[in-house]
Amino acid sequence: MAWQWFHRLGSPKWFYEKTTAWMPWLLSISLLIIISVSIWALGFAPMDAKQGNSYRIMYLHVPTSIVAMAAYYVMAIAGGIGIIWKMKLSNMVMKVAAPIGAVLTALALFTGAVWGKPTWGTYWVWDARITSVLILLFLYLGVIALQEAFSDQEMADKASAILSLVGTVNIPIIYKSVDWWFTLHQPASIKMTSSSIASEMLYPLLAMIIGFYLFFTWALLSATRSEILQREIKTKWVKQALLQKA
Amino acid sequence: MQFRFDSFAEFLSMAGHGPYVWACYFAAVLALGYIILAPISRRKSIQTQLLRQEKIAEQQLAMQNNDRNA
Amino acid sequence: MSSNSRYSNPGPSSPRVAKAFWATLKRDLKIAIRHRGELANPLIFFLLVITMVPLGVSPSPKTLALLAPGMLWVVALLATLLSLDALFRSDFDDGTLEQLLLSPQSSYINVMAKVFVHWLTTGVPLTLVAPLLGVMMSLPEAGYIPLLLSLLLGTGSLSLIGAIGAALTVSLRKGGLLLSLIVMPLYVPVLIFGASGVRAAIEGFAYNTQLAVLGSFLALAIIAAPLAIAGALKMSVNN
Repeated sequence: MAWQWFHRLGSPKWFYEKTTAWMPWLLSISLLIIISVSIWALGFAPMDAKQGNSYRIMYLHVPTSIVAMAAYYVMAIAGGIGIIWKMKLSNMVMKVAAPIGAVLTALALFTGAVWGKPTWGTYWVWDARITSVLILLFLYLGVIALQEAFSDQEMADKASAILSLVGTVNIPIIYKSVDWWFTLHQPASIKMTSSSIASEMLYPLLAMIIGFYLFFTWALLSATRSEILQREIKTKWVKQALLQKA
Repeated sequence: MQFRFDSFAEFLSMAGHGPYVWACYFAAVLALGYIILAPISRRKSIQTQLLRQEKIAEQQLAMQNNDRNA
Repeated sequence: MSSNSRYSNPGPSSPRVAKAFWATLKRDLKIAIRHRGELANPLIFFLLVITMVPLGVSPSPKTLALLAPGMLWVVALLATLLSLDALFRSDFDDGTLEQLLLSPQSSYINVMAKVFVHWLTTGVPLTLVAPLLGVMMSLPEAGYIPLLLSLLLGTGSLSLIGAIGAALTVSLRKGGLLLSLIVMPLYVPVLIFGASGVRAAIEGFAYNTQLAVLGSFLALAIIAAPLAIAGALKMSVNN
């Protein structure tokens, strides 16, 4: 009995019907958090003594980087479940996680680069963290390209699941390597100061991270729901669900 | 809790860092907007696809019936 | 005795792991030697790109020496990448791959043998040619031994990781570019430690850390990569 929910999860129909009620709530709560923290970060947060106003970008950059990274693990775990238990739904989650993760990674990269201009005087620095995020973006693009390349959906799912699992094993190694490489080449002028962050700045940052996680959850569910409709279009309940609204 | 800028113009310029900060937040709006709208527009296209299929099926059915009547 | 009969069922009582490994190894080596022309291609590519560097950047020995460790490593990596597309291609087309995966021996062994041959026919020649190209790139004297050692260890990892990509894309007609796209990010750690080992030696530092790390990458790749390769091959063959 305890595993019933797990088996139910395998049923796209059950999942679709169950999540319908959550969707508006998740979206509005996450957007509420993101927008209100953004307003606070833009207008009300105290100015950073060293970086001036440019540090207001941190409230976007840090949460997107964290969630972009987590999205890769979500994708790989979903792919693993799809391979081991042959769960349809899990493959769909894996497929839709890749583009969302890629967009978030691109946003993290963009905000990081723009933040670099006022702080380091240049848009692009081969800093360890930015380089790692760039490679993460490449990993995402690889999974998306592989997914697109197969005309057979089942093969595409298996292939991208294997690739994302391989990527997961690699990510810690890549991060450690890039870190090590950076300490080797780090020019003295752009050392990152990791001064302790004031709690007045920390709590909004944590709130923003939660907001982005909620938003990612919503995005993942929403994209999965669309994917379900696409893949199950031949079934009766999908036809009913779609034609009712039309 | 207090607004840290004296005027709206100052808020926009952020002591010279304005363009960078605003560019980032604008990019975030675009990215999140895309993530929000992509599944919705996909759902719409699936819907129209299904409607078209249903229509074709109906027409075929009607034609078959006409043939039989004639 | 045709080479294919070596894959015949030896019976469940005899695992014959070593024998299976040798059979696949011998067969693949024989095929590789029959296509000698293709064997030379990665090497010629290596030579060509290294020739482009002084033409495009500067022929001054000082500049070249600065670029040499990274350039030699990057180009060796690209040469390996180009050779990967053919790794499983012909076996996939003529059905040998399917036979191989159906054979009673664990696919780990067969896959290992195939990748080992790939390393012998691309990684090892590239490693052996690299010092020669080091001369053309005015690589300082201290760099030759570490270049040889790091490439010898590193190309093993490159072959193993690359074979995952080759196995994933073998059923696709236009897999070549996609293969590079998915494999190259995974090559980053190997490149970092390989090139930095050579650089460290040139600058007069010890380079055994880098070699040790490359060795551990190779060990990890030997354990884990064949599993992913076998899984990917099964995926490609089953449809």
